[in-house]
Amino acid sequence: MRELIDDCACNNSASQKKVYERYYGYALKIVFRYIYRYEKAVDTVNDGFVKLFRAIGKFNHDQVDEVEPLFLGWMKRIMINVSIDQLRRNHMVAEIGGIPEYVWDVPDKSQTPEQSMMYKELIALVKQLPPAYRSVFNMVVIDGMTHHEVSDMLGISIGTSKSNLSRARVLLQKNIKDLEASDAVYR
Amino acid sequence: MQYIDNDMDDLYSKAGRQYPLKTDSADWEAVRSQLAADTPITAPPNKKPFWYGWFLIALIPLVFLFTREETEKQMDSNLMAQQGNLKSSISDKSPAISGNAQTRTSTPAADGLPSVKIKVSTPALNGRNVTEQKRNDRKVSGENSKVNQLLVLNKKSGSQRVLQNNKERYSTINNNDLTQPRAGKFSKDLKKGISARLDIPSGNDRKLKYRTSNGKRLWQTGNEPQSITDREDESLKIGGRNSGSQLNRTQRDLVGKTGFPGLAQTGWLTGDRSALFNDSRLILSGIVQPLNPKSSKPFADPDRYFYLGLSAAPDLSFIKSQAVKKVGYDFGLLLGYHFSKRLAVEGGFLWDRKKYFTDGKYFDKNNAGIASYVWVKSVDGSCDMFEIPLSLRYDLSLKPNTFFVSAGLNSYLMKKEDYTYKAMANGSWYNGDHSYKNSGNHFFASLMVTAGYSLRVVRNTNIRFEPYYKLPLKKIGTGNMPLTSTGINISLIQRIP
Repeated sequence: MRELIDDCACNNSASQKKVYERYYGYALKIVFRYIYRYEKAVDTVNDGFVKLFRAIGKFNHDQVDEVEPLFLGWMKRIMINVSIDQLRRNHMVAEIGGIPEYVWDVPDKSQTPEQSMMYKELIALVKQLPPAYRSVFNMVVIDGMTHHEVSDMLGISIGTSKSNLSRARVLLQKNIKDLEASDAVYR
Repeated sequence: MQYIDNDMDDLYSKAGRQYPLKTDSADWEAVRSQLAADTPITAPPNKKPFWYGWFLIALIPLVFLFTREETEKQMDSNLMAQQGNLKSSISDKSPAISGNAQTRTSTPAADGLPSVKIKVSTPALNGRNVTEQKRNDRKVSGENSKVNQLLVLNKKSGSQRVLQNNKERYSTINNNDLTQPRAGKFSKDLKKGISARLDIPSGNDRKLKYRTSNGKRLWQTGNEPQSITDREDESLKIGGRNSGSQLNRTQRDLVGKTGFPGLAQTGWLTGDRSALFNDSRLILSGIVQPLNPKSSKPFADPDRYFYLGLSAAPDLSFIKSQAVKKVGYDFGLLLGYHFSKRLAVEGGFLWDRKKYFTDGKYFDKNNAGIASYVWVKSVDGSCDMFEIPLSLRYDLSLKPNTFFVSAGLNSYLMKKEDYTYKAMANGSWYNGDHSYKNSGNHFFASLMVTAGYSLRVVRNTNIRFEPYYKLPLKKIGTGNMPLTSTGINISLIQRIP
């Protein structure tokens, strides 16, 4: 892994391709949770990798034993940043419509169909949040960032971040209740 | 949905990592082309040592040291020859000093010229003085050019004494009876700025008879100097070290009047005359009086010196005779060594900013990281780099204000390149920008020829106007372009010291 990163720092195209292909899915799952438009998410991921390869020379891995977790954390931060930038370019306008079915993959063997379905529904519920709330919810709850980091990245106060998170949770609970209610009707 | 009130955060976190999103949409080519088109490519640091350029500049003092060493070797050999001749001269003189005449026949010259038979007779000196003179001669000769003790020998009375310091030494030389004007006194400027005073013993003290090997008498000192000058048809060849050398009229006079045939043998007259003023035998005899008693060093060669310079020039760079759209510049330091009357070797360290324009066909986009499907129409480029010129300069005249020509090789240490290019990709035109850092070093990448005029502004300071033309020997830069440059160097040159 160290050699791969060092080669990427030297603009070794083969190494960059390896890194891209190995971590593309990881990056796309992060970005899609913010963008929620598949094609745009793909472009954003590519932008994120371009940014990553430009800056990979600054990635310092000399002091750690396990490089990959550090690298994944660094990549996650980059992908979130480019996603936020993309949302800002779109003025944080909420996406219209649901998530198309073609974006879903067949569940791997580690998941039961029920789990897979549940995950898809949860992600779809998050999509229904306004982008401002969704971003804070994604960053704090799913990506494990602090409100301080969120406030830095989004340019909002810590209070706003906490407030947005709280409202996001309320909305999610409401959406889940609505989903349960609709399921009950169909049953 | 029983998880709503319990571990919702954990559930969403797990969902965020494991939700089944399709990930087969990876498009590496899109990323690669974006990297190639938009990313400022930073080349890995060039491993070639930066001091390579400094090594070239360091060659200049080496040339100086080498030539200086040769000069010193030559002077050492002269001094060794002087020592050898001095010993033989003393041994030759010994019988004469004791009152016996000696006839010495030199070895025949290698070129078959007639050898000279020399007969020397001098007034007798006592044995003690002869021994002391030998001792002092050896001592003085062994110290090469330094004379720490001066033995003053009164040839009339035969007495001698050692002078311990320069003041006493030279005042004595100027005042004793050896240096008083005599009939055979001879003075001449031997070198510009340096004069020598030769005090010739009277002809009555020494009787020198010079004969050729066949016994033909040439002259006898003190009696017929006129006969020497009149006999220009005689091929006066002195055997020994300088066998075969032709002495001119002044030298023959000097040999005849001083009564030192060894002068001709040691090569003082035909070789480096500076040795004449450092020779212990002449100083001992009071024949040569250095005018600068403190200086015991060999004469500094006025043709050999270092010089420093500040140089600046507008720079017009072009590729394959295409248009010049912008003017660049360069400036920096020069260091040179003038090692002969007309020749100098010169190096420098310049900062260049070159600006150029080229058609896309001369721009190698492979090194530039531009995708193969992109057609580059034209490129405007500029580069910042260090330039290390190394050249040989030839002055067309020996005057302070002179025309000169020079030729040399230039090396470039590329630091930064900026390109703006107009290109077409996928049927649409666009303007791209590329920036490259430390893309490489190009040693001896161009041949530089110059011709200029050097004008003296004050003593040891010249200003030079030097139009130059730099022909590419190698393609340089990220775009691998044959860059030709021209301009006018304006340099302020200061001689050291």
